[in-house]
Amino acid sequence: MSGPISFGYQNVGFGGGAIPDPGQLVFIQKVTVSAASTIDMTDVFTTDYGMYLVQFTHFFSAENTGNLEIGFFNTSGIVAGSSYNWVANEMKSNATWSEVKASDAAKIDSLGAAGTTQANSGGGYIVIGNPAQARGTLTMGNGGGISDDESRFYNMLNVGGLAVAEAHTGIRFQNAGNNITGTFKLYAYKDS
Amino acid sequence: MAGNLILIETRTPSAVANIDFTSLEESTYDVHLLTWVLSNGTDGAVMAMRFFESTVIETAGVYHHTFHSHTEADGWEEQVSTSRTHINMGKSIGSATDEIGQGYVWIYNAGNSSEYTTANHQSAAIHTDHGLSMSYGGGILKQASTVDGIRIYDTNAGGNSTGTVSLYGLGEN
Repeated sequence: MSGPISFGYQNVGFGGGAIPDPGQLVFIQKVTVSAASTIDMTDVFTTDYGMYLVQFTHFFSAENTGNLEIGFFNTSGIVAGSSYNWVANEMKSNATWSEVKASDAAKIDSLGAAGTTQANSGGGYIVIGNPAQARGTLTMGNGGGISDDESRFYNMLNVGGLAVAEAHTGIRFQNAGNNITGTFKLYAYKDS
Repeated sequence: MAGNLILIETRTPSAVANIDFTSLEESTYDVHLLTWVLSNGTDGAVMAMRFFESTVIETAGVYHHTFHSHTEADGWEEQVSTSRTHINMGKSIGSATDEIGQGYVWIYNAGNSSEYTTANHQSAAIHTDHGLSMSYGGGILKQASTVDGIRIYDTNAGGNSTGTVSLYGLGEN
């Protein structure tokens, strides 16, 4: 059995009893929040795994077509400043695509846009490479939901990077200061 | 032990028009992964998916989709729609014995009757004259409903798909 859900967080193996064989995709943590400014998964990346997978569902924010953003923690706390780079193919169901990107940014942006209600929420995935190694960390993903006027479905195909040679131990989810709602699940790919 | 990527069903169609998954276990999984490797009887297959709502296939123009493709022969193409009858998931699959397509689709919130079901995908194909193509994008069934089935089919030639399609649920153990 897995552990109890407490304050929306669930960690495998926290509840006693036998821990099931996770196969080759290891469940690390699940967080479900409602109208939170940030969602942090701290101390979740280790050198035991090279690749991680985030799956988010039911995601929306207080900003219409607000995008999911992420930042990483190092051993001292959240990595702020201007060390992030990202680019996304912003595909919309009612208009031609746009390239959105930023260099030397304070976070990785445009991981999936949605409306402001549960009905207009979205989902997506983020693959994270080598966060716990003392090198840069890369992400790639695809996600999206629908705008409040329901005129367009967003599909954000994205990559991001944190070009700092240090171990990253955790991840923060946010949306430009707007409260976010959703469920975030973190897995690791077993490679041995 | 099944692990966290739980195989729900694998289908191995042989020259069929529709590949239907009618058991998603959508009350258990809110994230599904569909993988496909298919060849087709007619050149230029465009693979797509539709959803079943309470066992009834939805064929009306109630899907949104975004679809980008690149082929050696034709270059880059964008398709978008807010009134699509399906969600594209791959294109330009050839019919020769050495031509084939493959891809994956992530599907979200199928079992939640108060939310839309969304999907994103990527695919690759060897098409006519052995050229390569790739595609990526996503879509949404823009009406809140419980989705309990998925149909995979060729929207271009209308059938004769052969290969393997697997559906997984994402567990939390």
